[in-house]
Amino acid sequence: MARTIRLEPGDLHPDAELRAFLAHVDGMGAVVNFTGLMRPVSKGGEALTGLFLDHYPGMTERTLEAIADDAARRFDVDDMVIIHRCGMIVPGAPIVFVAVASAHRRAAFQAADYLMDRLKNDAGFWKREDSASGSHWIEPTEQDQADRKRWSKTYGGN
Amino acid sequence: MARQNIIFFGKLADQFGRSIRFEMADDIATIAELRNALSNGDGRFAEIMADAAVRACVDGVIVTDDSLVHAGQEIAFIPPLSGG
Repeated sequence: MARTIRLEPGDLHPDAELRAFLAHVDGMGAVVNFTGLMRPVSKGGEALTGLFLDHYPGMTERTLEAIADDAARRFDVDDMVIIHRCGMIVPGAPIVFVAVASAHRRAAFQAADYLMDRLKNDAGFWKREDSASGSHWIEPTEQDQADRKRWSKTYGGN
Repeated sequence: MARQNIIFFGKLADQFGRSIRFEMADDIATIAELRNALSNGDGRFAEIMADAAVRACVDGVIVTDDSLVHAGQEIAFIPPLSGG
C-alpha cells in the first residue's frame, strides 16, 4: 500500500497529481479523487483576495499522516495520496487533492469522503481569509464538526 | 535560567511574531507553570496564556497543561486549528 502525503508551498496541479497517482496504481479497479478549490467569497459573501494557510512544519504533516492512518484502518483501500497547499493561495486555486485506489469503488468513494471530512476538521492548519476590508482567522465551525460526526456511526467499509 | 524560543502560529503569530525569546527559569517544570511565567513576565501574554483554547505543543506534539517541559525543547502555542 503506497501512500503519498505532501505539503505544497507552491501551486498545486491536480491533473499532474492524478496522472502520477494513476501511473502507480497496481491492480486496483477503482480510483476516486477530489480537488478542493479556494472559493472567491467568504461565508459572509465578501470577495476574498487570498487565503493564507499557516502550518507548523512537522506537526502539520503528522496530522495528515494520522488522518490517512485512520482512513486506511477503516476502509479497504490500497494506495492513497493527500497533497495540501500551505502558504498564500489565490481565489480559484486548488488547495487540496486527495486520491484513493481500491479494488472496488464503494470503499474508494467512502475513503475519499472520509478523508475530506477529516481534513476539513483535523488538518493542522490555521487559515486566514484576506479581503479588501482586512484579514480574519478562521475558527472551526459547527458544520465542519457535524461532518465529522457522520463517521462516528459504522459507515460501511471495514 | 535558560534562553528559550517560544513559537506561535495562526493569529498568535500575527500578535506576537513567529517566535519570541524567553528567559525560562530553571524551576519551570510544567506547561501550566510556563504559562504563568509568560503572563507574569509580560502582560501582553496574560489573555492567551489563560485561554484554554490556546494549546501548547512540545517538540511538535500537542500536550496538556500538566505536561512536563524543559528548556531546549521546541515549545509552541497554537490557537484552535482551522482545519484544511
